[in-house]
Amino acid sequence: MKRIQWTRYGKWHTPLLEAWMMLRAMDEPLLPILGYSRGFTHVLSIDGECYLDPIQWEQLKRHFHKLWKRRGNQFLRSFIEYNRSITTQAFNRSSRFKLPDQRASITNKELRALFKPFMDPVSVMPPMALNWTITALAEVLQPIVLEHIDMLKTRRRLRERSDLLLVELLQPRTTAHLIQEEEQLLAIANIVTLDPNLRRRIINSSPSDIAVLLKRYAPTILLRLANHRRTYAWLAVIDWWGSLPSLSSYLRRLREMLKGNPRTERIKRQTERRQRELRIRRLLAHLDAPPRFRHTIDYLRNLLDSKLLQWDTVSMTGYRTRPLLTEIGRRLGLSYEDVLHLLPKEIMRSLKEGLVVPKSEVARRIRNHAVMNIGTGLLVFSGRNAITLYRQQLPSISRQSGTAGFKGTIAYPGIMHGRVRIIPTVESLRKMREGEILVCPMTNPDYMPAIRKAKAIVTDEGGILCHAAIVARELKIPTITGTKIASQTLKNGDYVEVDATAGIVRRVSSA
Amino acid sequence: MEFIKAFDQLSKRDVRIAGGKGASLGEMTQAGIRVPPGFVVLASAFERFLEETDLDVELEAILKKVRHKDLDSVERASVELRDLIHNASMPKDIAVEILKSYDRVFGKQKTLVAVRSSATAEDSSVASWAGELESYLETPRGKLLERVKRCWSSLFTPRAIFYRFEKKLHKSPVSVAVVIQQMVESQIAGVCFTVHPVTKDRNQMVIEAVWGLGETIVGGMVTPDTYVVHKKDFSILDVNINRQENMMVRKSAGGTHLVPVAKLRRERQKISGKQLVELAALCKKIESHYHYPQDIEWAFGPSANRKTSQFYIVQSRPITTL
Repeated sequence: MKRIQWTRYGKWHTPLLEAWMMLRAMDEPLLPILGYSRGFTHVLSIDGECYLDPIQWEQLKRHFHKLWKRRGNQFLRSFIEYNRSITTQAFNRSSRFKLPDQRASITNKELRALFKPFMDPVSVMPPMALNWTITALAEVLQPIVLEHIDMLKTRRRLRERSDLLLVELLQPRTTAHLIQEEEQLLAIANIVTLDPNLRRRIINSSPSDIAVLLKRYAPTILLRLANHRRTYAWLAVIDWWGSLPSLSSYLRRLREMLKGNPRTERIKRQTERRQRELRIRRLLAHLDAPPRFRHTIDYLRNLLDSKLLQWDTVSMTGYRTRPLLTEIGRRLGLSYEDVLHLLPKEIMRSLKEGLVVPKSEVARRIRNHAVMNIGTGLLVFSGRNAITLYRQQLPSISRQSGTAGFKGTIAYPGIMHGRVRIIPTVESLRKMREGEILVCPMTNPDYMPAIRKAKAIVTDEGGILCHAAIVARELKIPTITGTKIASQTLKNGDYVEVDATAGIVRRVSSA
Repeated sequence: MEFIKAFDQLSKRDVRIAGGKGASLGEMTQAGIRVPPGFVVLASAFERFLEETDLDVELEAILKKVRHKDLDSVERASVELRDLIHNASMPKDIAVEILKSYDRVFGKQKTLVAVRSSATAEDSSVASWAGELESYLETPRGKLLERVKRCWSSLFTPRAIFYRFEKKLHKSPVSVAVVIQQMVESQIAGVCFTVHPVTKDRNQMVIEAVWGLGETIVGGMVTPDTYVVHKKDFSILDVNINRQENMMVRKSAGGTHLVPVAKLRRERQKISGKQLVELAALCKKIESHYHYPQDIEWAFGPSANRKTSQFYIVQSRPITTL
């Protein structure tokens, strides 16, 4: 078999079903409206670890570069519009997977009809393919925009670092779902504050007591909370995984909010958002930036938001399809996880003729699985075959030697000290402790639980538009991306200084 | 014997007859802070009611039987006690006086009022009763007397009975006054913090405003306008106007609903510079009256005679954590 010089794209906690869908989606023409009729035909996914053919990656980047040279902001605008319309559509349409309430009474035929969209992965998960194009675009634009800032800066004789200025400029524009959720919960807390006694009692009660209390004295608030949970529970779903938060987890958070002052907290958040906009406006005036550059910044901010929406869409789809896949599993005598390791056509056939894949094969796939496309369509491997493929395609990458300090791209500024926690894959997420510094090859939505605990984040890959950067901005966590070597150089327990105002990670003492 | 007092006849020393809520409304009115108009049915009216109907003995007997650890017994007692009060008729002179006061304050219009219980007790324990009793919003004249009786009987809700045992208040005398106050149909409403919650600057206040009723701000349904005003010279430091699509209004039959904001007003600034200064001055006055930073809910709506519109202070509380 032909061997390709693969480049690593990232590690996801991806079941076979998703890996297969993702590769299928990438095989389609990526950006037909932008005149790019090719897709990624050379892709490899092994146990969720994704590899691309660097030649195709460069081709896409060159295409973007050409379009930017030719059409500038106009190109950016059409790119964003295309992205946003497709993603929003997919987000809203995910409700079509909803099972009727009487799930036992529907026939297998009806289940097949519900599941059918999976046969056309692009319609289920267009963001899976689009997400990569945004990363490619960001790689193209980052140096260009930085150079532009450099130029403006010199003209105005300013001393500030360009990369810091860029981070300041690229604040989120719309409110991310995860922030929206917090603010809605805050609104409920605000309603509770209207009744000082209720507030006092909630603060002094355990979650189960709070539920009883609310049921008795403030049923409307309990109703609102239940509603809130229904609206936002999907945020806890990352891809296909993650358990849905219980009502008591929301009650606990409500209690924490009530211990502070939700009324001032609400106004604080609003003012902060206002000041963020003012800061950007002031900064642009300070730089004496021409309108064209202001538009570019504006579009880039939009792009950040739509990338976040793409991850949300994947979570939403995972959340919405879970009951369907679970029900399919129930009928085939499989668990939810088992179903996630079947291919769409196998599921369709099984619903008609009974399980067509032996259970032993499903178990093998769960242990190891790989999907590969080298321009000839999708090949699926399981168990030992996947491992062989891995050895064949990816001879071990040599490790770089350690240094005391190294540099990366600033994604969110700030200086933090702390102990290193290396999370090479999502399997070790649980080791993350509150206040540690998260070091990993690259974050993705799977990492959210660890990110929430992290004091600072350092990644090997990515730039200013990568997942870590976007989430760091939303959650205000100092972050350095694209260090190339952090996760290999640093060791668990090392005490480091993450100076995300200079983009430098220094080891203070070794573990 | 007097059963009713207007807000301006009360002060903070009148907690014993008008309850905590009634006394503080009186206090604000005396200090020249405009609150929505209304009056207080004093605790003496409730006591007179109990005497006249001979309920006091019966109530005592039922309360004695309550074992507060047993929720069922609390609930059974509550139903019994409240039924007794609801079924007894209100002494005629009290009823007449309440309706007369309503007509005097609100004229003959169909003003909806809020009917709120205001517990009266020893000074030390009155605060702990705040919010334990019931309130009825949007009450028309026709339901006024019934709601007053309900406020009286809310001294015996399961929650209140349980509370009085839990806090060992069942030995000390407790009674209830009833505050009757106009529900302002605000055109604009909002919140004012007399300290900037973000910069913690004591020379700045933050005012938020929305079209319609203020509930939309607290409930997070609408992003309000935000104004930052300097407290010394009332210069306006920052104006942030937010588009508003929907506003909450009161239905004439009671209850609230969301309606679209008139197209012309959606993008417009909600309070003018002149009004802003007036409101800021009002809020500053409240702060200096209480000697503490305040979190104030205000409304801009028609006056009692409905001829003009003015600012009302709906609620003011100290900001304890910044």
